[in-house]
Amino acid sequence: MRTIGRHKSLTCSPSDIADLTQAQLYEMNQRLLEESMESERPLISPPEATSVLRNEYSNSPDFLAQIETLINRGYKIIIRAKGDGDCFYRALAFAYLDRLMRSTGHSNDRLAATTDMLAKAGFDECVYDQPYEMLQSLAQLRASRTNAREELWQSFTDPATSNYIVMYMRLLTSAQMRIDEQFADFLFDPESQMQTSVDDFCRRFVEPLGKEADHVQVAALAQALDVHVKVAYLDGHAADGQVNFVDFSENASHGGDPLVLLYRPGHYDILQKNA
Amino acid sequence: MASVSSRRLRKELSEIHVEGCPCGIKLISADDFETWFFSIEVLGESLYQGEVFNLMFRFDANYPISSPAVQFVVDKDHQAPIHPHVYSNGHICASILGTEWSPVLSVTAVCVTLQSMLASCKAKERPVDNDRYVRTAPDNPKKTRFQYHGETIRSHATQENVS
Repeated sequence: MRTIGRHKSLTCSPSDIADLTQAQLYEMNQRLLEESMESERPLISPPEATSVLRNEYSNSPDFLAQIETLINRGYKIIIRAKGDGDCFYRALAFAYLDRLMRSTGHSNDRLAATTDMLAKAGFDECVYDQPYEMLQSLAQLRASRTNAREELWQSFTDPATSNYIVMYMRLLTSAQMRIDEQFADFLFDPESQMQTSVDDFCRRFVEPLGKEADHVQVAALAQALDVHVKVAYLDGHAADGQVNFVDFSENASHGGDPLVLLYRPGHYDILQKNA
Repeated sequence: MASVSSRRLRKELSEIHVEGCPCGIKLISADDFETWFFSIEVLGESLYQGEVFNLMFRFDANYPISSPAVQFVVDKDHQAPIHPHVYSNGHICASILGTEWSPVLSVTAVCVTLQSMLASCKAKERPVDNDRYVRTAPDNPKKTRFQYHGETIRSHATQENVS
């Protein structure tokens, strides 16, 4: 969620600072403060009550109304992902593995099939084999085992594991877009707004870590994992507190409740009904 | 257990030994999983006909999540190619080594990209801020925040170096 442009605006020389108005200085201070808080935030935070979001929007009645709607619909828990550009991939992977860990049927078949998909998309085995091993070992965790949730959470807060899981999710997203022709017509360079090729889009906006996910990437990863993903938009746009939910792969064969993400402009977190 | 980074590099190296390097690229040395050297030349017609350059790759423990530090070798026997995106100290301004690095890229893929960067060069000239940059450049090019431009624009680095 931290864009390059934002960083640039913070690196002005002393003479630039003198030219800023009080309001601009205040805004810059706020951003610096937010960024420093953001840098200390764990990659995946422990579960919190969704009501903590009220603190962030105490002056925005439209947002507060939407937060109440979410709570009333049963989304009582929020698990936050760090805003480092990888939040969508990290959040979805965590939600996916957490659900797998707690499900009774627990079939890892779909994950096992993903390596074939990566090979078909042209990725070299030495690129994905180790990330896949890490993902598989987390997919073996069972809620019945003591400390399984703690172990999953620890793995996601440790960059040495967590970033490889993000990498694998990015590879899957890229593979889905490369294999599935329906994506080709919807790819735009987010910088120039010009249409671009699947290869160019994947190389520049999917495969590198730190590049934020847009609608297209969400759709592709939901398909690749064959899971129903539901995204709740907390945007303050509806005065009556209505929350827009957007479904991806609603008819996924991988049954069970959808994985629910909370979207705020530029950022994804996880929503859950039960802790 | 060997680290992820060294296991990945071991596999890349064994692929190089089995399949060989792409045309125009040769492995000079890879004695450990920290520093590798390659020679690189542009085959066919180009502004660099007959010139051979050496590339140095330095890997940290976070490779391939973090990019390798890649630069042309500059010493008494080697010079950096004269190119709008290559500084005379060997540092290279290329997005794939910075914000567009991805763990999908291998060492040989980086070599090939740099080779084609040279092959498509239209005018042999240094980046606009070459002298200023080289005076204050850090040892490791990854500490520089480069500004990336299209092929036609000569590079420049931002004044401050990232920590």
